[in-house]
Amino acid sequence: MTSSQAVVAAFSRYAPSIPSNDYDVSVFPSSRRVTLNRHSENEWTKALVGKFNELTALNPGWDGYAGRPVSYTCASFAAKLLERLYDEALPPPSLVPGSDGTLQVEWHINQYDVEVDIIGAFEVVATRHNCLTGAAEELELDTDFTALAGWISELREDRSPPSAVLAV
Amino acid sequence: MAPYDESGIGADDLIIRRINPHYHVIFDDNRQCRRISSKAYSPSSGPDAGMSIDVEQLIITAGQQPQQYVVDPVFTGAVAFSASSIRSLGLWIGYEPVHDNPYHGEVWGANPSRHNKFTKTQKDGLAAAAAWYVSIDDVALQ
Repeated sequence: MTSSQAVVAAFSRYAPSIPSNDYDVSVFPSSRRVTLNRHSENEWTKALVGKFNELTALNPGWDGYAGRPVSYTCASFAAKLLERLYDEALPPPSLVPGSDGTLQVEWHINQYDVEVDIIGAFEVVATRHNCLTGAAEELELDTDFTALAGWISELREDRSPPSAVLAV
Repeated sequence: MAPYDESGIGADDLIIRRINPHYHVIFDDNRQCRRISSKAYSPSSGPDAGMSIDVEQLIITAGQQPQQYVVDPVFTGAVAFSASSIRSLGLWIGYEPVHDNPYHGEVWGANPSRHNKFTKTQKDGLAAAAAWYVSIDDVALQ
């Protein structure tokens, strides 16, 4: 099974309304922490678990308006998605909270900008900007993350502009 | 409040969006800089929700100093757009005073089926139209 097929298989097993405690990522609201299963730890999750916990514990009004902390649903779904998308050749993404408790996952490398907006469990909008051509793509995703897995895979390719290569 | 476009906000009026330097800023390896994430230019996802903003003219009219108002007490950055640049992206601007901020407003999508969603083009357009109002050291606008 390819990594793309694994992503599809992993997510298509779940109905959109499935409770978050059925994910591998366990959520304990009483301690305000997102905890990742040890068996699924990878370099991304190890690097990001502290950030997840920080974002789910943001103070109300953190954005200067009525911003809420990142919801456990969004955080745990994002963590689960990142476990499935993990590629050891890529650095962990940036995590950016939304004012409404949503969460955006971002990579800006190898002349691609990939932004994955986690609006809820199985409610994702992903965009990709090709810095070399200016082409922009947008995907609305629920249970099939095949296309996103393909984008992540393509992030590995070194696409440094010719001028940068010559400079080296 | 239902989304609408406020006629009392003139084309040249400045619309301010507060930026949290810890959470709205990412490192961009392509551009080799720290910059504001597109997530800072996103509306909330609830029905009729928009992107929170401050209306500069209201702050000035009330006798307050807007650069100080928008960073008090915890924020150290803000960007501003002209109202016309926002509207040119197919967005609406309205007043929505709240209990702790009478100068608060919202930016909504003008499309009735997408008031609470901005397209990538609209987010990119906001980033392109933004100018520093209260700048953050070593952070690029886009």
